[in-house]
Amino acid sequence: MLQISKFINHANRTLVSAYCEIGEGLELYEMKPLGRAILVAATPTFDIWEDLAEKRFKSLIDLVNLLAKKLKTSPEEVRHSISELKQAFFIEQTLEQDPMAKRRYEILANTTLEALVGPESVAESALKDIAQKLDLMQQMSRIPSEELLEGFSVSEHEGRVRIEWTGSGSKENQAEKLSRTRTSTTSTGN
Amino acid sequence: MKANDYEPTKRLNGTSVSRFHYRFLTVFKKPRIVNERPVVEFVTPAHVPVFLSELPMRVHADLDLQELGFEETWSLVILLQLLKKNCWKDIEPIKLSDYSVSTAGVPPEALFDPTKLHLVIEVSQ
Repeated sequence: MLQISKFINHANRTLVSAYCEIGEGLELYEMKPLGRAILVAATPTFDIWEDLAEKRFKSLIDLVNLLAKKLKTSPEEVRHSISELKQAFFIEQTLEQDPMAKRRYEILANTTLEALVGPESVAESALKDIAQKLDLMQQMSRIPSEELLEGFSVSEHEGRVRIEWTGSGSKENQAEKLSRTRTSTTSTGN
Repeated sequence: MKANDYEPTKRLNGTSVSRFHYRFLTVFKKPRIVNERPVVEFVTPAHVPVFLSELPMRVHADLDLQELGFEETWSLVILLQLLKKNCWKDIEPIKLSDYSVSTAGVPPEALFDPTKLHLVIEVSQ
């Protein structure tokens, strides 16, 4: 039980801290060599940066697989850990800005809910499903969402997402050109 | 990917439509016409039939997040990018291949019924 708690604390820290406590730091670490050097030198637990950047979901995948294995021998403790895992996914969902990532965490949280309330056989298959989904997230994290949605405007309202790209000949594009022409004319006039 | 990996096309109310992974319906509102027929490109690595389109250049999706499955949170945006990059390609009509539409031998579960698809993407306007 102690081992599982230790593991889940680490997993929660990896998952949640990336966005709320040190989210900006992670960006600095990943994007700027000088920022990386400063962070590594100044942070007492500097290994967390490497952990976050390189193995973002690995500890979670290991944890979920471990929970699936331990389910039969210590079901109560595992249910407790699944409950914490569910909370971590819900927290992550609320912190996420990208609606697609938000949806992914919602699905993960709902699957952990199934694992929490279902019989052991359901819990086991749900945990394996979560581990597979996390593995996919790990693979896809090499292609950032910003890159996938490059050029598109994204907005979300009451559970609906609107994604749009406009180029030449669109109403939005024509309005923008008209606006620029007006601005330019005004500037010239002044 | 399904065992019956049909990604069909259809004409619908003056537009042309295609299906992606049995879940996404793409409505091409202004397909480019050559010799009285729309020009279609089959984007091979992605298995997507794309109707080349007239201006305006616009790709648009408005959908309920709850409808999206886990993998679809990625496949949707990949499809959107694919449409953005392929719908307004330059073509030389003389180099186009001829085609015919076939419905023979399609298994019932692979038939294309646009009314059953709720995840809709619009191209052009």
